[in-house]
Amino acid sequence: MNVIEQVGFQGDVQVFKISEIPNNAKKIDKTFIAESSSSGSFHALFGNYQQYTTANGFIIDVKTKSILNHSLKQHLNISMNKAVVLPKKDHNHCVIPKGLYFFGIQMKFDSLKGLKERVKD
Amino acid sequence: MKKTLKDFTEEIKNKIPIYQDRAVKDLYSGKEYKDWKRQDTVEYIEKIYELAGEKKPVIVIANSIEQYKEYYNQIFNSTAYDVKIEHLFDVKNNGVKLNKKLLKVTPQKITNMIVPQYHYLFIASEYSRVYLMWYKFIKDEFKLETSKAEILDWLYEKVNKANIAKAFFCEKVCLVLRMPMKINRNDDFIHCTTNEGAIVYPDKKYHFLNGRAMPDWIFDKYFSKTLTFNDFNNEKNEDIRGGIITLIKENEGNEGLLKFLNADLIDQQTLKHDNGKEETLKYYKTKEKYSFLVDSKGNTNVPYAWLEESCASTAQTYLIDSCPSFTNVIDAAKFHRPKGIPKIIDYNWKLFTT
Repeated sequence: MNVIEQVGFQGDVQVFKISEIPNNAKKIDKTFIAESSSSGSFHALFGNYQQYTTANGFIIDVKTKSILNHSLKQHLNISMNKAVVLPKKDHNHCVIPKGLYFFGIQMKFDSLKGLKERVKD
Repeated sequence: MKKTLKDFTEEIKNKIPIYQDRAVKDLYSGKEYKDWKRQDTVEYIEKIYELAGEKKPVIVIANSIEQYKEYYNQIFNSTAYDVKIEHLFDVKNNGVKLNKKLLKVTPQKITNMIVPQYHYLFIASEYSRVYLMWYKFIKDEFKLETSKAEILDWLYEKVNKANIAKAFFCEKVCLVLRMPMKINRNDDFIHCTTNEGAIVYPDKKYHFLNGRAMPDWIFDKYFSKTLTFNDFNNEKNEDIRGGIITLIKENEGNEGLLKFLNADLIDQQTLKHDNGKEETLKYYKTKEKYSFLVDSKGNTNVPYAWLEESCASTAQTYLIDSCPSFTNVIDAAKFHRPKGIPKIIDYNWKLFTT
């Protein structure tokens, strides 16, 4: 994956600009970037884009300006094809301009196992 | 009459805080709960039913969330209240004479408690006062004439006194939950770092830190001085761990936090990102080393380490478990980026941090 720069973060979701879609990326239907295991909240992109999955996160090809929301499932009564701002859970929404991006989750380090793992909330 | 942004003068803008204050000040302080009269809630609910073209419902008012759940199940998940509600509805609407014998209720034992849902109506919820406030502000300050002026004035005048958090609306009965006895906040969120609770009802307090719900145990343990480093370490939910850190920091400052962790601040840097936002990152390690810990290179007998960062939207502090091999906090922050991001990429957020 050819990473160009850090774009932004919304809580534990971090976004990076990339130059091309990696060969191993698999095209998928739009899905949450991350979902809380306890609070019913999610991070998800709303708008015109194509999503791909990779081992470490998602590749997103944003066709037109889209909105990254952190919201609750109870507000999820709208299509993810529309670039709309949902009522926020904790983090403000972010505008993602047209372009190619990698969306991943911040890591923490488990010093009992000596391994990195994704942050959970 | 047409109004434009030119009509939105500084004088009018300056009145917004006055309206906002009126909407919530007495609610937060507890004065509203104390001064509440049942008749105000009854009149407000009856007005809503009248606006909807319905008859007057029997109104059941719960003073707390726990009571609301109990009443909800007794009324809608059992037959305990059926006779009483039918009778009171007829008394209110159909000229039937009150028969006290029909008012006796024996609560039933509910084994399959159900959770109330769909109890939102915009002019009878916790948000109603704000919704009505903006309409009232626009109407009065821009001197707009509207056929709805009278009802808007009535609802605005009554909504705080009615003290409604939410309600479940049925044809013959309306179950109402009152607002809390008190709400504690910081500038932006429901938030309380004492043991009083952020949302206080007569029978239960609810803890929130920077708008996030927190479990009772962290407050119980902290204020009984039994909260330990192991409690923090064993907690896997980052929001709850963040809550523990906030609780300690706001009560005891950074020194208290370092004492709790038995740690040293190894490095601290404030960065100015290209998106214009500043971010202060801190990196800590415990004074002690532990034989059972391992760093990312496989070395054992190392300290615990954490990367401290703040949520840009809520200012909640997070301590992310880190690898103890760093001396520079930026290296640590890069280490915590998702897998696949090369170290060579600058730690500089170009567009957003929320």
